[in-house]
Amino acid sequence: MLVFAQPATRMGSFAAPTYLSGLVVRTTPERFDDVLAALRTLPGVSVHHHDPATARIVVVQEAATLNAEMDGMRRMQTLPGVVDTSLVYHVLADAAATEPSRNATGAPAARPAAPPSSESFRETEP
Amino acid sequence: MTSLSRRELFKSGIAAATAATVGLPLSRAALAQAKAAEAGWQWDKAVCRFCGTGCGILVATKDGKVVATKGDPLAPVNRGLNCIKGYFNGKILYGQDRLTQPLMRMKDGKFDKKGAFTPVTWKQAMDEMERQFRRAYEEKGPSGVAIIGSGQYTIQEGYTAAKLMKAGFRSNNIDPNARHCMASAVAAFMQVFGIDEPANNYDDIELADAMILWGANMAEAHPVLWSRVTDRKLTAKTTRIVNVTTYGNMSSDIADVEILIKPSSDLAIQNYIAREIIARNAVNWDFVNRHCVFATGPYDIGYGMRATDKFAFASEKDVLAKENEVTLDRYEAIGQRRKEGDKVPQKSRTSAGRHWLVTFDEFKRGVEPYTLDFVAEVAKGDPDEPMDKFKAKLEALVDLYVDPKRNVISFWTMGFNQHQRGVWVNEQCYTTHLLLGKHARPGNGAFSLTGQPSACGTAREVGTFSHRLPADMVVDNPAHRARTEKTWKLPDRTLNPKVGSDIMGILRDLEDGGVKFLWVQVTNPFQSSPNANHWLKAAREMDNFIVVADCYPTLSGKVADLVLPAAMIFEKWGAYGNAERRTQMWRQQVAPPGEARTDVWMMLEFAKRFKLKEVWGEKSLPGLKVDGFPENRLPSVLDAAQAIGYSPEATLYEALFATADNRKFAWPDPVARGKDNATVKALGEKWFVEKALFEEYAAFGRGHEHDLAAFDVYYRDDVRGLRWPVVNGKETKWRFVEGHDPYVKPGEGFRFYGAAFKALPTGTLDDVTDPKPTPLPGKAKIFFRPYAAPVEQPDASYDLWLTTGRILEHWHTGSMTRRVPELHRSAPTIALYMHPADAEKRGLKRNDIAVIESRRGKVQAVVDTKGRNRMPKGSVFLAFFDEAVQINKLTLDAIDPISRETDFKKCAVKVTRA
Repeated sequence: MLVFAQPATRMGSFAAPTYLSGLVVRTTPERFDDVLAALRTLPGVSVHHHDPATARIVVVQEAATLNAEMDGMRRMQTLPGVVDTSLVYHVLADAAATEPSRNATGAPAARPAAPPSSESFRETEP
Repeated sequence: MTSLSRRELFKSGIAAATAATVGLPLSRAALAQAKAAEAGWQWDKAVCRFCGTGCGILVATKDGKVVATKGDPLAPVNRGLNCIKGYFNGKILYGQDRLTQPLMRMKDGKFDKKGAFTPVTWKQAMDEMERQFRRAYEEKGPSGVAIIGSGQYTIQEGYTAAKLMKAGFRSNNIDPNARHCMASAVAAFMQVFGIDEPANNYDDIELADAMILWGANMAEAHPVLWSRVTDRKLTAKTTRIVNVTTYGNMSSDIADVEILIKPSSDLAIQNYIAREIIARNAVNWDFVNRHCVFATGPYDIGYGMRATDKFAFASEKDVLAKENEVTLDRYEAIGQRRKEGDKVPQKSRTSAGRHWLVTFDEFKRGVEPYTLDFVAEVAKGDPDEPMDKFKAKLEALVDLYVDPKRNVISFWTMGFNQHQRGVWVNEQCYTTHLLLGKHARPGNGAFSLTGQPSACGTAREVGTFSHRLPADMVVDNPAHRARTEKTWKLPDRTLNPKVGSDIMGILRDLEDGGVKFLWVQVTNPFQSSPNANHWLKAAREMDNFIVVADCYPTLSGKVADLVLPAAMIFEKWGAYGNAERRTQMWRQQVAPPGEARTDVWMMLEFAKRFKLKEVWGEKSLPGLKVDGFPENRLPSVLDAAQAIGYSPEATLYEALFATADNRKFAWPDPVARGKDNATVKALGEKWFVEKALFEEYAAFGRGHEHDLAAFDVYYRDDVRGLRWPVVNGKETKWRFVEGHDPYVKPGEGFRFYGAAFKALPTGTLDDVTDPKPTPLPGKAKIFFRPYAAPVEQPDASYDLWLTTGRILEHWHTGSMTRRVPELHRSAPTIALYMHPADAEKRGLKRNDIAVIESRRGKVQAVVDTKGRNRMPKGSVFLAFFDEAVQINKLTLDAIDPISRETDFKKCAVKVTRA
């Protein structure tokens, strides 16, 4: 899930922008315990629910930057015994940094028209 | 509560919501946490914007804005999962450079093709569009104007475009980018079964004991389906997955066996499989005798390139010459029962689809040369693999197919479709499954996977092609035209009976001045079409007017004359039909930004500017030679129109769209549940455009084996799309088979009831001997097709194969996915995947910049020798999502002569240091 909520309406303010994701890690019954243990050692990762029957583990990852978040997911994906990881829920805590500003009525702020000439529509050389 | 414990609570809520979404069992307390995390949001169902898998998603809005998206736990397709692209369905709407105003090239306050893009009003934009359209239409008639549409059109968009062009302007120059994607699959469906679209559905994944991928990197191209395949393999341990591919990729990681093959050798391998099925006495004669016939066709069909070299670059001429004559190489000679060096004039270029019945003995004679030794030599793709190991893999592949205890599904997408003999190689897969009787049954079937989200539901079913009408009908069939004219209430002979220009035809027409007005919708053809240098030049330098409607600035926008800002998926009402025939619908969730409008509105607004007297009079149509029509002209139908109640002063909007029947669908409508409608709003009308158009379109298919349910049914809370045909409220999982398909009666077993091409002459492998047509009602055809070599192969000057495809993070040309920072950061540019030894030989190592050049152009890209795609020696790979690396300047515009689909998968390049 990708969430574009303003932090003020969602969770109160945090000290720094936080990238929060809910993921489902899938492994095999044989590697389940190993993977569970390995996930618990990863920085920024908390293990929540798990289902040995289907060898799936729900984790929440938090990271301070986008790059850290992408790296963290890659780290999970490449753990030995991990078959795949699925992104299911994502919260962009500091929505103001990357989202268009919202005014009081909740409508997006008027967006400037695309630059009329050079920037977006440079002549293309064949 | 401290900030820290508030965070912990929120994280618990996220975890619970995640678990709930994928159906993990949760305690009541955990479920309550999940609910708390989502308080105040209004969820509505929708579909993913991207691939043909058709995942269900949920979109949350609050105060009229999108606040969240997630996988839909109730969607049978994906059960709460998304791949990384689908995950960002909400975010694609909010890229920084979203188009919000029409932009036109201007100089001194007027349109000028050499001018700079300037913001204009919709009125200015449409005024110029009308002026330019009239100019082209008056000079060239219906063949001088064109629309390039899309397999990403909603059903309503495709229907509006098809009706406007065909019924309004009487032009068949409308073709979708699906021509580049599924045309070969479609032609094969029509030739084998007489009707389009797969017999099977995704339920087969959980019922299959073996799944064979043919040139389909499912792990990256249909990731959620791949999740289901992986699940099946992990839960039913005897399941076997085979990846038949020209390079090692992520699908190989899960597969039990990777079979690395040379480009085009799929044609030889499938004949080997057929030969083995016969040799092992594994033919299911009961099924074959009751339900199948054997067929074949001509081999001298060319490669769909231009017949003249007038427009060719000097460097292209050698390859172009083969369009008219081919000298057979050793493999072709053996595979086609001829002699090496035979010079074969390509006489069947314009009748490539012709086919006839043969006996089983003839079929057997056709596959006879395809022994294991011969085929292994043709096919082995990794020079370093030992021959006996490769042969063992081929034998084991046959074992999987013929094992009577195994359910087998073959999956394919672009490896088979984007192929100079794409129709042939599609047909061969049906040959395998039909010989074994393993088709159209739970867990068994040849399953053509669709790439785009609605190539099935829109382009194919609605018929937005140069040769098609809705519900599998075609323009050059008088009975089909008559039925369409009746349904559309058109005078007799309104519809143009001459097949129009397909997408490559339209681009070539731009180059030679045949087309002077082009409207591009929901696609980026100047980045995604092959041999691009030709079309980029034509767009900018020929006397034409090109309109591109899109949501972001694309390469096509940049070479156009007018850019129109389009509404995106959740900013409009719409419907898509996915690869398993599941039609899914969504409500508009938010308003389009700025001046962006729906594509449907643009077309309806344009239609208001033309009167019947201007389009239904006599029109020049060079080359028209059809019974009942004057030569080279479409007749005037104005008198007939008046006789049935039309006024010549009526606009196309009134006559074709805002009809009395359509106006009966009132807006607002309770099904909307308070959601808005940007089309209706911009029109200033009170009729529910998207619902009326859907119901009008659905009338074509109901009772004719293409049944769709009523519009409102798809919006019910307990419905997550329905697989058509939907008859008496019940969807159809498996077609053509008794007990599942309502059109097949008890006792029939199977009935392949498609009507197209179901009366054939008879002959031998070499030609027709008895032209009298034999009717074949209910039968499917088992085709013999020979091996044919690619028209351009590596040689001394261009010594590497170039193949192209997609990667997980980006969709097609990246116009949407590159605006999502996470996806862009994951894959910021196109990498040149090559074997480390090939790189070293050229003085290149990983992360160096290389120049890749073909006869047609050159680009630069960064080298990757250790990435996700493991190329064999002699072959390189480039994706096509980055406008800064225009790989289609390199690719060859050879197309399958039957389907007119481009072969993007094989041409020759050289690679050097930058």
